[in-house]
Amino acid sequence: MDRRDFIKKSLKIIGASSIGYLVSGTPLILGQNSNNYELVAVQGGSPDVMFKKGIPYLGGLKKFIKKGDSVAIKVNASWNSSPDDGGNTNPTLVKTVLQACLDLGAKEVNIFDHTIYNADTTYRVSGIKNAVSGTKAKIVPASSPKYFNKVKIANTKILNTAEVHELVLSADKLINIPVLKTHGSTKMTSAMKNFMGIVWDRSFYHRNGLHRCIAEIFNYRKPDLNIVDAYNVMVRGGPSGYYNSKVVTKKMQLISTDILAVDVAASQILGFKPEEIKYLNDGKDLNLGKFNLDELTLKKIYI
Amino acid sequence: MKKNLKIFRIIWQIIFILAFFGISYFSSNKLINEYFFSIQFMPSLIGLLLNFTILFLIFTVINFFLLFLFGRIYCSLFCPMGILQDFFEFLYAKIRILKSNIHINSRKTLYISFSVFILFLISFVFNLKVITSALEPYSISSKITFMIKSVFSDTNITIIVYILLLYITILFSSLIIRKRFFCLYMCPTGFIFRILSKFSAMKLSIKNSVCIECGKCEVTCKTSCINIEEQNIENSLCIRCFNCMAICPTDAISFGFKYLKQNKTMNDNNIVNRRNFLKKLGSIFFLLLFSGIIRIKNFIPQSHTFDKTKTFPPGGNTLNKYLNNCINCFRCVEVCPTNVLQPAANYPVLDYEESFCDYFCNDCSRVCPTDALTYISLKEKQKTALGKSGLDKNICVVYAKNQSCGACAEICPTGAVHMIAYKKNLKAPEIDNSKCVGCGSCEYACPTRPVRAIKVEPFKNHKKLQIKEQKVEKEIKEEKFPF
Repeated sequence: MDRRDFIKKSLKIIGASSIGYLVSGTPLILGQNSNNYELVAVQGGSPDVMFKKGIPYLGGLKKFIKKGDSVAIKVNASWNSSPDDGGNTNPTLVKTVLQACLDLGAKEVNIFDHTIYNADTTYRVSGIKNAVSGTKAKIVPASSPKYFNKVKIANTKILNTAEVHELVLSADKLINIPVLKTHGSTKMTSAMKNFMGIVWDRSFYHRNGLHRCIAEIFNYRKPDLNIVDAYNVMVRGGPSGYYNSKVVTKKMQLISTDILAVDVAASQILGFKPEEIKYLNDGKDLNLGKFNLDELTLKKIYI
Repeated sequence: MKKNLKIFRIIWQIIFILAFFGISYFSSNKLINEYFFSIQFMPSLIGLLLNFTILFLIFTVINFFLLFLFGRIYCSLFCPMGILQDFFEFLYAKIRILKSNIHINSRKTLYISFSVFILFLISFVFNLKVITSALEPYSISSKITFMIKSVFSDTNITIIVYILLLYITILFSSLIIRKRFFCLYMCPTGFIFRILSKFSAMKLSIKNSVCIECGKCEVTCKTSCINIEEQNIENSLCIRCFNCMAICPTDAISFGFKYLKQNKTMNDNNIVNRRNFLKKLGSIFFLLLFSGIIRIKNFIPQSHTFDKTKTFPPGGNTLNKYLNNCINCFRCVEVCPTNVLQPAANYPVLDYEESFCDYFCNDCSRVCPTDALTYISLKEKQKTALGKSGLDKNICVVYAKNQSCGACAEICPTGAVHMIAYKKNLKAPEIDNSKCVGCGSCEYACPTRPVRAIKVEPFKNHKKLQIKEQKVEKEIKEEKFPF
């Protein structure tokens, strides 16, 4: 990097942070504030504002993304569902996160999901395609087994091997941005269930013990950061929302490094007791994180 | 040397072939597909015979009008197979492996061509699409797109692609023996044109007084129709490539309205007059109509050609219509975004173990060139049942193993498969077939192997369902966190 480059980049960073300042009121997105909460729950703003307000309490995104990192973002883009219908991750949130990663100097930002319905349509209908276009980030295909690699997973009962997406193997940082919904068979889908979309053969899960497998995949790799989108929450008719569904605009967001804790909190937003959801118990069994929210530092923000 | 017409032909061919493969590779737009591909002679004719629509009528009339005015101009300008052959011929000439053409006995080629045409008609009557689609030029060219697409997309390359590749390689290698080999010996469209183009108003002719018998035209002719010794051009074979006009050093060859003087060696049958013309036109139409009626009335059953365990695509409406009209050109297979439409020897079918029919897609019905799949709007499609689903509780993960599953209910677009309370903390799938559209998503998602617990049983005729339009109930409710 020569001097000119340095000045250019510094100016960009200053510019970006001043925009962040103008939008959120505090220059927090780049992590000047070193609060160290383990779980941040934000309520009351649009998804991008909630993220910008919330992330500083985890030490800022800077704590997770270093310059030159390759970042993989696992979204939920499985359904032909518009942002208002709450079937997929909110595109505004995706755009805010990927832009923040790029501003921090991430080498590449890749969005992926092994979608259930045809990816071309779902990325378009969900608005995520639109959110990604015009940025340096890319949507990476996951529609064929050739994008998946077989890996061994240690200390598991059922899921000893799995074909996981190549990004999970190669990315320096893994960010998980699920959307909170009810689910026909597992009752809830949120951060942990979202990682079912990093494997190729979902039917293995269903055949051999859905809940246990959902938890065991994290023995291979946990995401570095979980951002649960609970802005439009599908409280009935999930996960597709195609039939008899109800969406409540709760304007909530949960941010945490602890994938179990974030799901325990999420389950309560949907009105479940965490014990009711079997894969959360399996997660506790595998020590994926803290099951009791009293044991961690929790910050609630109301905007 | 009059080169204008040849240059026009070449420029047209380049534009047309790029448009043809461009559209068939990238576009599933209804209007573009409808109007662009309807000019293809055989698909339109079959569509007109079996499933009368104004569009097919218009384009068939245009085709015959062009034929009776200009002769076999279609073979040079609109047939993708013909244009591709010209292209390969050009390539072979560049690398010098092309044999020089000399005049052949048109009678002999006529016998071969006629036998192949009869084979085509018989396989059409017996619904052996594997043969008709191997002879019909549009189907072959469409399959080239299919091959390219399956190589460049994520799908697995199946045995069908290799067989096709072999067949098409043979077809294009045959050019080395004789230019436009396919058109001369194999093409059913070519045969119809050959019989009728003799009577076209505009013809190519050699002016005896100017011709110096250098023989250049005989060598350059694509279909070996010039006999320089007799100074005769066989108009039934001539595809109007205009090579001869461009190469003639004395401008002896001209293209214009002409009533040809009869050659003495011709027998009665070859004389160009009204009576002969009507006789031949009549017999062609009779043959086509006859085989068409056999197909429509289903005098010869077609069940032997179709796998009854498989569903057929939306827009097909009735199995009869789908099987009759389909020319197995793979156009629908090419555009299917989920790859549920799988190519087979006789017809594309929906393979639910491979994938499922996307509830939000009607691409296949937009592109079908013969109306085997009639256009069906998305709203309409979402209320049309291709089959109904059935659950085998003896192998279902939930019922047999008491484990959570629900992969079928999760993916079901209509709520036909839904979860009900079964045991404590366990939900089980149940089917309401009044909502089932038979898209096969449940069968695709079902995790049991080798047999799926939930399966779609195909309907012979698609059914209309009474499904209420779904609306998402919405509410804004901002609360404090419950933890």
